[in-house]
Formats: sequence, structure tokens, C-alpha cells
Amino acid sequence: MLFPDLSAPQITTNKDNRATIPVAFVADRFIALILDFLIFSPIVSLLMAGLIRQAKTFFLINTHSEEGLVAAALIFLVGTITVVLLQSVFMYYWQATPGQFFLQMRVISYPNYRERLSISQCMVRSFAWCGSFLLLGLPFLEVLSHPLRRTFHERASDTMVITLKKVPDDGPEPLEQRFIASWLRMSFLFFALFVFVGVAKTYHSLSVGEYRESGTATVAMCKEIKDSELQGASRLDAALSLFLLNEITPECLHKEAELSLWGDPVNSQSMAYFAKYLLTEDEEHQKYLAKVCEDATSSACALAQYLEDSDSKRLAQADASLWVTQVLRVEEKYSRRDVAGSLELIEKLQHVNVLRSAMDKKYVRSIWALNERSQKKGGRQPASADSKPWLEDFKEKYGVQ
Amino acid sequence: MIVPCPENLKEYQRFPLTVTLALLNVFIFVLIFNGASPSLDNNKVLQYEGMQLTGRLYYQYLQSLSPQELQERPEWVHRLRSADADQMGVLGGYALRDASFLEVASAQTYKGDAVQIDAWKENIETFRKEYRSQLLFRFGLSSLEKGPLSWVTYQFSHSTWMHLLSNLMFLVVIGVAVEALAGSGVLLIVYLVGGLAGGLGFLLSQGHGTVPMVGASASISALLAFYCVAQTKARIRYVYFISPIEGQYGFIFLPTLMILPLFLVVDLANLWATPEGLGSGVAYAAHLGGSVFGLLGGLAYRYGARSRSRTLTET
Repeated sequence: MLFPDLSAPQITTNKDNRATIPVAFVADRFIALILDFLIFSPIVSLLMAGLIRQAKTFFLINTHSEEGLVAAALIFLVGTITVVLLQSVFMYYWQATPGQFFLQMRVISYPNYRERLSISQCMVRSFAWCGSFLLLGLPFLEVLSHPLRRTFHERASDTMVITLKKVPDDGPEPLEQRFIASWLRMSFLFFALFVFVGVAKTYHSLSVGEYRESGTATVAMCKEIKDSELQGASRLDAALSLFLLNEITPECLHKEAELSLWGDPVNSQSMAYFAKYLLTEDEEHQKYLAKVCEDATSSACALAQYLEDSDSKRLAQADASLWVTQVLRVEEKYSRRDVAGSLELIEKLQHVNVLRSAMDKKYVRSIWALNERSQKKGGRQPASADSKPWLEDFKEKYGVQ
Repeated sequence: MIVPCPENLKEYQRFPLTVTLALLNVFIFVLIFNGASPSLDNNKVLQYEGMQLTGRLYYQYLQSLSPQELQERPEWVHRLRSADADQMGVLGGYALRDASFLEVASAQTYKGDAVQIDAWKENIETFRKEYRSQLLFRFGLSSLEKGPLSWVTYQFSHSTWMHLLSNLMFLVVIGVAVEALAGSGVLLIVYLVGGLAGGLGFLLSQGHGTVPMVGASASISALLAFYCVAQTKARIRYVYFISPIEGQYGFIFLPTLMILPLFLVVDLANLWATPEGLGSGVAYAAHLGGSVFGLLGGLAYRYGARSRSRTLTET
């Protein structure tokens, strides 16, 4: 008994088939594809117009809209189903899509010839045709390498495209077949690699929380201000203080000022104008100063005028309970070399969560200045710092010798 | 590439009106529109922050409207939140298309950043003046500018070279077909009245819109619909080209009856798929208006041709 060698290459009868089957031209099939697109796309678009409009509206309102994503998924699904049905109907009744019809091509059952295609053949063929797009259309390129120009969706459905023209296509040359087939294999490998990298990257993003909902209420708020519980006037107060301490960017303060100016509560309007005053220059700067000082007795006006002429009397007129006033006082005292005075204020502000980190820096700066001055005076603490042993406290707190 | 290519295109002297219409469109574009600088580009209202501010003020304007007036605005406008700066930018884009808002914009009182609002009022006034002085606005058709002349001038005006060339390609192909079939008089009537019908369709779809419409596409749609209905059994020759290799270029003949429904369906689908109140850059409603007139004109022509041939047979 002779066993067949299963490892040997499959013996095909390509040459014979080519001689008997009128294989359709690649160019004709390409033009048919374009015609099908021109004919089917308006019909599919019309069927989905309402859905597309809704999806566009969802994404217009919110670029990360979940409703929009669902609508987009529905568009994809309905589009695929419509295309599969349209193609199947044409294939079943006319043995060709409209484009193939105009270019004198027909789809036949192959290798088992039948009078006409069955419904399941039409459906499988259309479905696999749509599926090929998921692989970036690479399976379609088999039309260039297969001896009978049969691509994946045709082999999956046991079908084949033939031409009614007098002279059929000769099919690819053997060298052409081998070259394109190897190139296709390489392309699939690269595609698989890209898919793998993509999946890994998406999984990583998912695990580090990049897709996590950020909450809609904070859309207009600045994320640089970490304390999310701060609201209204105190939030703007914190933003102003942090801006003056160089802890947040001008864009951040601008966001907070806009939120106060355009939001409903109007109790922080003058402070919001003060923020705008800090952020603008030249003519606009003066306009905002005038706006801040429409009420000359307001704290915002006192602060703005203090920044204009550095007169400490102005600062004394501002509401002392405001953090921004206290921050400016810290700086004012420090510049007057009243380090102990500034340290007292810093110690108070260190209890405010949102300002703690910035105040810690100011604390170290003041202690440094105090230490330098004490060294200049031969290790004695300056008279201004007599009220509290700041240096000892610092050494004790941080374990410095 | 698949492009319509009628067989009688070479005999251009047989189609004097088609050639005249094409040349007229080119001359008007070259003499008036070509090289005209778009003066609006530098206006602060059209920059991102300007749009956001316009959106915020428009939001307040909407609060001052009666429920009836409010209902005339698209549904999505009511779902926007003033706290979302991006949404306010989108609303700003819509606000600049709302003619009734632009009329009262600078006279309204608003809450918010008074310095910004004062500057915006100056900018919006400049915007309105510049907008009205634009060539496209003066020659185009819109809810704000619908004088008797603009109904005709818009049919011969184009915004860019690409706009002109794409329209010309279809005008020449379809114009030649209609002129060969029905003569110059019918071509002129279908072109002009089809343009008027397109203008009507555009204005009906726009409501409060301020954006002007220009272009011969409504007239061309009318010509296309006219020809497809008048010559249902004809086939138009198309040339296709993939590469210069033999077998990869040539002609195919497609039935006219297939073209019109697809053309109508494309316009209808695109019109329905565009969120209300936001234009897509193409006046689909104008195409549909022109097509409806062309369709009726084609039916009338068929009826007339049939009765003429019956009269001839009887005599």
C-alpha cells in the first residue's frame, strides 16, 4: 500500500482551470468596487442619516460622549448589516453586484458548480467581504496572487468571479504569485504585530486609569489646584494665593477667574477681576484695575493698589482673613526683613491644606535667612526673632544638628 | 478615477449657451472673487476664545427669549452647559449664524466679565460690518441678504478655484447633454429657474442662518435632474482610468435613470446627517430644491415631446 506524503506541496490543477474558466480582470473588479461604493454608499448613508446626525450631535456637545460611542457602534453595525444584505440580494437575484453587472462580470459557485448561488453562499461571501476590511483590506490583495484571482471571501463561500468578455484574464505568472503571496504573509505578520502592540498599549492605559471618568462638574476648573473640595470664593482665594506663590500657571488662574466671572454667584466678582488684573498687561491691565476699584473699599481694590504702589497701608486695608492677603503680608514682612513676622504668618498658613506645600518652601526660605543673620551676629538669634526660638524649632522638627 | 465623458463633447460649437455659461462663471470668478482677501480671518470673534465668549453671551441671550422663540433653535443648543468652555465654543459658532442674535447682539445687556464684554461688543460690530462688506455676502444668498439680484448673482459666484472647477466639470457635461436634447432656451430656463428653486430650498432649510450661499450647483442639479427624467433610457459614457496599462482604462456606459436617484439620495442623506443649525459647507437643500425643479421640468418636457410627436402623427 502506498501512503501519500502529507508534507509534500498540494498538487493543484491551476493550468487546467485557467484554460476552462473565464477569470475576471483585476482592473474590472477594481472599477466594479468603486461603482458599488458609489451606488451602495448613498443608500446606506440615507438609511443611517438619523443615526449619523445623532452621533455627530453627541460628539459636538462632548468629544468623549458615551452616547456618541454607542451611536458610532450602532452606525458600524447597521452599516455592515445593510451592506451584507444589499450585496446578498444582488448576488442571489442577479449573480453580481451592480458594479460587476455593468462591467460584465458574474459570481458563480466554484469548485462545485451550481445553477445559481445559494443564500448562505451569498451571505457568507458578503460577510467575509466586510470582515476583510477589518484586516485593512489585506485579504483583497490576494486577487493579485491567486491563480484564479480568488480572494479570502470567495474561498470562504465557494464562489468565484468570472467575466462575460470574450477574452478572459490569464491570471498571475508563477513568479508574480510567489512574490505577492510572500509579501502578503509579511504584511499579515506586521499587522499582527501592530495589533498586539495596540492591545498591549490599550491594556496598559486601562490599568493606569487613562480611561477613567474625570467628572463633569470640574470641566471648567483648574486641575493644578489639588483640593477638589474648595468651592466658590475660597477656591478663587486659593488660586490667587498659589499664583502669587508661583505654584500654578497663569492659565490655571485664568480658568478659575473665568469660572467666577461667568458663574452664577457674584460674591467673588471683584476678586475675579483682581485675578484678571494680575494676568493682563497694558491697556487691559488698566481696564481691569478700574473694574476692581469700582468699589474703592473692597479688599480686591486694596490688594491691587498695594501691588501698584507697594504701600503697606493699602495692604492693611484688605481683609486679613483672605489667604491672598496673608500671602502678600508674608512677602511684605520678609522684604522688610521682619523674618519672624513672616514666619508667624507662614505657620498659620501651613495649616491650610491647599497652601501647605508652598508655605513649606517659604518656611525653609525664612529659616535660611534667619540662620544666615544669626551667623553674621556670631550665633545669636536676631532681636526680631526673640518671640519664638524658630531655629531650634526647625532643627527639632527636621532633625538638623 | 471615473469621470463622465459624453461622446459629443468635441462639437462644442453646437452648444453655444453651455460654453457661454461656463465662461461667464469663470469670468465672474476671475474678475471679482479671485484674489479677494478674506477680511474676516483676523477678527477676534472668530478666534477660539472669541467663540467661547460669543457662546457664553449667546447662552444669556437664549435665556431672554420666549419659549416659542427658543423652540425655533435646534434641540442640541438646549443641552449645552455654560460651565463647559468647549461647549460654549460650539455654541459661539452657532451664534454667529443666527441672524436674529447678530441684529441685537451689541445692544443686549450681559452678565459676566464686563471688560471682555465691552471689547466683544466692539468686535462683533466690526465683524458685522466686515461680514456685510464681503464679496461672498454681497453676491451670495442668505437670510440676511435676499434682494432680487442676489437670487441670480449667487448662481454665477464661486468661493474658490476648486469650487468653480468642480461645478464647471458638471456644468459642461450636463449642459451639453441638455442643450443637445432640448436646445439653448430650455437650458437657460432650467439653469436660472433651477437656481431660484435651489435658493428657495436653501432659505427654507436655513431659518435664521446668516451664512451666504454661492455656486452654480443648484442650477447644475436642476439640469442633471431634467436630463435624467427627460432621457430615462439613455446611457452616459464615463471614462475610467486606473493605470496606462492596457485593460486598465476605457469607457463604461451607465444608465441616466440610475444617476438621478443616487444624486438625490446623497443630498438627502447628507442633509439629514448634518446637525441642525450647523452648515456642512455644502448647500444640500439647494441641490434638492434645484433637483425637484429639474425633475418637474423633465417630466413636463417628456409630456410636451410626447404630445408633439402625437400631433405630428395625426397630421
